[in-house]
Amino acid sequence: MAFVVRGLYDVEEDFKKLASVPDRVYDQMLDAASEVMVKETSNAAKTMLVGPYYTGDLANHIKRGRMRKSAKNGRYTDILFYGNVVDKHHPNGERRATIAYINEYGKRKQPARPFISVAIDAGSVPAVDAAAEVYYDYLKL
Amino acid sequence: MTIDKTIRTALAPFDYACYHNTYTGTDETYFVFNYNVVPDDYSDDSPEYNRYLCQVHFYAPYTFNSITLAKQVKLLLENAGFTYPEQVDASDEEGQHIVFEFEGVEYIDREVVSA
Repeated sequence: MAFVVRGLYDVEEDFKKLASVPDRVYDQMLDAASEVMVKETSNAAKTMLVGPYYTGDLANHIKRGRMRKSAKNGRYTDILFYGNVVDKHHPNGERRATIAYINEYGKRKQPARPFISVAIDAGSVPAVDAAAEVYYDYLKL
Repeated sequence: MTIDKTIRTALAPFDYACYHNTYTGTDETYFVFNYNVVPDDYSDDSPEYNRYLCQVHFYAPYTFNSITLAKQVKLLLENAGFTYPEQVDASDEEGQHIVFEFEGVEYIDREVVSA
């Protein structure tokens, strides 16, 4: 009596192909996910930072950084508050990243408005969905 | 018990002032907490729980040794039913500012509306 399994080699090859996702697909997946996070962070800034000093400046200066790769994190990118702001409240100029940090954590006499953690919470699932969509498109090719 | 009361009770052993959002008193060492609420665990298009994204802030002068306190705060908050907090050092020129970030959940009691 013989027991024959056919096609395992093909399945193994298919899995190897799936595992070897090209860098450009990783970049597209990260791009799609970070686009969602930029939008969520901007929306959270627009809704949570409204107050007497609000100008909307921070919400309009959020972008994704360049694609990076490290042994610890693999491929990743940063979401950045870029540039400096100079206005009547910051006559000597202030980094937007600093303004975002102080809003997120507050300081003595200034309550925290953690818009970044709210954005991360709101965007985590849609960001993964956006990346997955790119991956599934790649698999269809 | 409300989230506010749970946090206050967890931090009560330290005997420092503990306020929601901001503290305008004269103490140099105190706690402040804040949170945002996210509806979660939907069934029939309706959330079953509120998820609280919480921050507890500990302010103190630089002369204060906060190492042990920070460890105790995290364990006390975990014992009170929250997730084990992440710790961020947001100190500035005005003094120490340690932020503990964690989550908590609360069942949405719909009887409250009909009462």
